[in-house]
Amino acid sequence: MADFNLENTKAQMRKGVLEYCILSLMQHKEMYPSEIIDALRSAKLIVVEGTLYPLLTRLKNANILSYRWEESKSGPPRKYYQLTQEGRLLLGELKETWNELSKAVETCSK
Amino acid sequence: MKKTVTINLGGSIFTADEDAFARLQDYLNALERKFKQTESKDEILDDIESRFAELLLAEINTNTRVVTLTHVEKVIGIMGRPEDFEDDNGESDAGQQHENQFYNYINTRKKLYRDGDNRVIGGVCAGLGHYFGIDAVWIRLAWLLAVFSLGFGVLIYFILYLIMPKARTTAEKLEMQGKAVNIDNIGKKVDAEFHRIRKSFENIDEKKVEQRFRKAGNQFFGAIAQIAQFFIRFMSKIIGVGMIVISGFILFFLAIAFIALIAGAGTFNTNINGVNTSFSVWEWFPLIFEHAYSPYLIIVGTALIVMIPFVSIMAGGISFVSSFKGIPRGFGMILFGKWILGVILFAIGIVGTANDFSQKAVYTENQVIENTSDTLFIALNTSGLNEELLQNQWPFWQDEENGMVLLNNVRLNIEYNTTSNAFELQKKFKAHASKTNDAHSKAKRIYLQSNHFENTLHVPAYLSFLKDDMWRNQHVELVLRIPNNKSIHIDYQLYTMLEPYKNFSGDELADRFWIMKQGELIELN
Repeated sequence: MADFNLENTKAQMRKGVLEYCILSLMQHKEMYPSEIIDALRSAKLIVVEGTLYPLLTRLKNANILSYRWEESKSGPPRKYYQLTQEGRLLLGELKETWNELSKAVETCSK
Repeated sequence: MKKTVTINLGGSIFTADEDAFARLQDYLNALERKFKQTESKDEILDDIESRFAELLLAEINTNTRVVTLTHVEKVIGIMGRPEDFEDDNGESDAGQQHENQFYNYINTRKKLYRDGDNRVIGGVCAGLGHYFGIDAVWIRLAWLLAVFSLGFGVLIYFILYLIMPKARTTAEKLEMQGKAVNIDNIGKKVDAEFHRIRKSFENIDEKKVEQRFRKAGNQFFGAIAQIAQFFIRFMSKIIGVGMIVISGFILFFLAIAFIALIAGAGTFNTNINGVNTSFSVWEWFPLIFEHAYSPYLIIVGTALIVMIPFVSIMAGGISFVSSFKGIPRGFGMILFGKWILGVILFAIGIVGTANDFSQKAVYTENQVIENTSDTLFIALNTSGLNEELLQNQWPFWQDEENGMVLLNNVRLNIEYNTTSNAFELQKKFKAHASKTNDAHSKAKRIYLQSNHFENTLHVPAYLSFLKDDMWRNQHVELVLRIPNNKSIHIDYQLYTMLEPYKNFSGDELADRFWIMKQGELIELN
């Protein structure tokens, strides 16, 4: 498409960043969805809960994340997500890419 | 006062009043619609429902017993409305106004239009596809089959073409696909159209030549090019269908034939040496194959070798028809692998059996014929032969009672006897086996009954051997050695057994009187 769609561009930026952030959060421990939301919120990346579930499921189907069930005393059981081996490799690559990109952005915006 | 409903949300039980229930139901239905096309939609919906229940539980934990509309709305606020979800394009539909009719993907009544944008010829099949919710490919396939096998279809197509209006306006196009016609959808459609037009303007440089053609008034060529393009697309689909149908038929009949063969059928009627013979293969396989599994290996192997090429033709046809989307990758490799398997099975079956025929042995018996006259008559010995066999003269026969097999594999050769003055008959019994001594034993066990009385040598057309010895190409060569100045007369019935002598063929030698002079046979009148 030749024309410039601001909304589209913003959305594209957010989408890439969102996935990377989620994977980064999980590199040290396993988390369940509302934990992830809270972590994102405190990092000032606001996302509505409903967005998270399809995203997590997609990552799980691609074998980047895996989950286990844990019974909870106060309510329904929870899915605890964690990175798979492949997920960790992917995260590493994304980290490199992010560093390259942010250096590039810095250079260009001088 | 309000009615309450007991609900099970994600495994937790709640009591909700009717307003809350209605709102919740709307929300869940909207989610269902939003993820309708998504893989793992059930998993996602379950997750969302469970989380919803969790949040709701937290809301009503402040001593309120019943879930009210307020609670539900609050949790919806936390979870997010479906259109606020950032989907795979990173976009949310939050731009839409969503008063009370949030969820705009209601399937309104569909109207039957011709789809000009997705047409191959006139968009009839595409339009039908939209209306019935089937991929247009199937409709085209059905139509082509009808046209080629039943004959009609072209007329129907024309009628439909005339009846079905073309979807021109955006509203019509949306109605054709059953999408609600409202501002949002139209907006999207128009947007999409705009972008398409802009794109075509951008490619204007590349199209300049084409446009000059058109401007010069040669729209004719443009039309021909378009027609040719449609024709090629059309033809490739027809060819694809043809390939599918033909290979389908062939495969069907081949499959039936092979299955029948394995199941025990397999009676063949052939003509051998001028005799119409009918035999059942399964009667004879045990005599040829040492192992019971060998014929099966050979049959299955042959089936694979023969049928797989047709399967690949069929797959090719499917590729044409579905524009190369129908066949998964690697399918070709699987087919090839199976074909190789067929070759291997066939080879195993054949090699095992070939080994049983590898060694040959000959057992010779010499007999001097005491003939009182100088002329020896040679006739056919038919004693002990079954009536039916005599009548039909089948080349092979199983004598079940005695466990013998009869073959008419007997040849009669004429030779010039230089060593003695008497007629001599040499019987050469030949057989094959996997080991030479075995072949020799089998050769020795071949039974051939000849006798001589009143100046006539009776020679049988059939040899026999024990069924237990199996068929190992047993044959007998009889050599009749004629000394100088002696004569012979060979009965007409033996002409098929006669080998040529010098420049006389078998049927020339029979039924005539000959005298042997210095190695040459001279006819006597």
